[in-house]
Amino acid sequence: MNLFIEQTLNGLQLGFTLLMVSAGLTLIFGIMNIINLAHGSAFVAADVGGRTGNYLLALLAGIAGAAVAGLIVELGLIRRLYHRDHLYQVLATFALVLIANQAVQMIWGSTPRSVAAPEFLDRTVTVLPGLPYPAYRLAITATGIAVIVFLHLLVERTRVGMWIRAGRTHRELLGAFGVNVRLLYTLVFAVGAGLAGLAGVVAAPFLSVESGIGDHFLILSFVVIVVGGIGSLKGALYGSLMLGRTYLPDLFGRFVDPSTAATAGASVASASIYLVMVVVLVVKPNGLFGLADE
Amino acid sequence: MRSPSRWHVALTVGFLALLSVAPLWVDASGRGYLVTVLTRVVIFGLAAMSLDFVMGYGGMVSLGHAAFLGAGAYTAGALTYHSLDGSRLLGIPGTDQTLVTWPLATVVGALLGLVIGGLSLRTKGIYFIMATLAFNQMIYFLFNALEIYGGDDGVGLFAARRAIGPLDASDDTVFFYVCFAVLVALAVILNLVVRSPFGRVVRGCRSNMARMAALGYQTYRYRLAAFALSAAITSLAGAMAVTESQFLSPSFAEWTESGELLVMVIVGGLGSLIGGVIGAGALFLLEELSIDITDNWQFFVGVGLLAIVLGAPRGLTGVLLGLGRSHD
Repeated sequence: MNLFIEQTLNGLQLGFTLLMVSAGLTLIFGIMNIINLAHGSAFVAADVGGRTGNYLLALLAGIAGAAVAGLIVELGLIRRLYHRDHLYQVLATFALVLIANQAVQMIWGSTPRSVAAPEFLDRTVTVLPGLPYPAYRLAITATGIAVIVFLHLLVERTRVGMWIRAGRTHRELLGAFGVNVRLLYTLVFAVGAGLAGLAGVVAAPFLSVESGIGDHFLILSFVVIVVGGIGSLKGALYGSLMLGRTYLPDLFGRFVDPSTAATAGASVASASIYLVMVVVLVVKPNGLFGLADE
Repeated sequence: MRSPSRWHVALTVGFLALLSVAPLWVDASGRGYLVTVLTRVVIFGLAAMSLDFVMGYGGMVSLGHAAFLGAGAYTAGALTYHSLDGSRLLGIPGTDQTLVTWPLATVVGALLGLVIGGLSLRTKGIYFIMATLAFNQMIYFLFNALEIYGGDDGVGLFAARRAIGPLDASDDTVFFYVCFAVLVALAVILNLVVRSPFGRVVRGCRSNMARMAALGYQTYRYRLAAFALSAAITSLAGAMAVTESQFLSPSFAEWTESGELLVMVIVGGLGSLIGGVIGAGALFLLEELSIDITDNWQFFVGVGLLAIVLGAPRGLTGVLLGLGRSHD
């Protein structure tokens, strides 16, 4: 029973980490209708920031760094690709992945590194009698909940959120009403990248930080979004939690204890999340909460 | 939709002719080791060509073709592995006879293409791209789980012969020409397919799916058939690649491999078939040239790719055909 609770808590924590990556991605897809493979690289950028020693400083630096990187990428590249085929968006962002991964290797080498959790969270709390649980993991779950609440309020309750929702379906009309759509897109992109950066920093202590680590999370986020539906925060939430629980055995095998990562069971478990996706695709091709016509 | 032009045919024949004499040239210039690079150009060019078929003509952007590459590699590689140690695979003895392993890999690729394509084609646009990528990962992790073939480390098959019928193609130059013959045959077939009534329907679906459906075509079936054909050819290329490298590992199915096939198609030129081979040539050439200078050649691939996306979206073929047209 305790094991079950622990696994569920771990699943929640992983799910919410995934959610931070996916929520930014789904906003970008939903409003800008653009596919971005480099989103995972923001995750790496932030991981790098996480090595500076002072955790809170690294957290701020990671988020800001990723957001600024997103800003530059949107202004310099993505902006030119809105009216192009998805294929060219894939290619351009794939190029960014190659550049980012290689740059990380050139600067920091290819040896994986580990990042320590902040001291005040580096302990366990007793969640139930006889069940100690790392405080840091609980903090991640709390952060994830805060992020989704923040995004929900932003999208549903503010004027900017109204524009975001309008931009999804009526881009031209929104511009005609005097909203600076270009600026809005740039901001959404930067916020999305910043969220990936946040996820990168908070996840760093239980991952081995290396070039290409963002790719795993990126592809998982794609699955989340395919399952949840593009542009739907609710979809991203349910999708993340579902996958967090399913994917768990592998991710922990893969990153926490490398010796067990080699076992067949872990790989099969990670393949099983794609079964979830297959089932959803068969039943609802636009995802659980996707708009009918994407 | 592009009509087949004289220049396009000339470019295809010209490039293949150039490729056919390339081994003689590298041999004569004392760099015989480059023959294996040329063989890889042929094999990955074949895979890129089949990806161009679904993408450039069918309008289906697949970011999951490495799954088929891996499926072919694992079909051929597993059979070879079992022939080496004399064990059995599901009760069947292994073999290193490529006349068995390659066709079998092609069939496996077609079946996998029907499954992955059948599910992914229920989606459109961005969803399709993400779905193919996700299936790619699924296949990749399954191969990772195959402990018998070394898990994520893979397994060497260095003692195996490259048997093609009674011919032992262990000689690199002989093997190049075997692969080259396969490439030429499939280039001819694919060029015929895109001009056939079937190919015209597939191309029509790319331009306007709703209209094709209104004309009474079962667009889903046509697109699925095209996808499965492409998957089969890519899987064959995977089998050829494992016979070439004699090393079986999940890296064949890595998602970045899917990305690289995409890059080859775009660098060469989308919707030209031969562009995939030209793109593979350009990419392997760049790797070979820069490997002495830097380990980080992928960095420069990324930069070059950005330049092509922003500056020359029709790739090298587009540039070459543009030159050709100016003389018309």
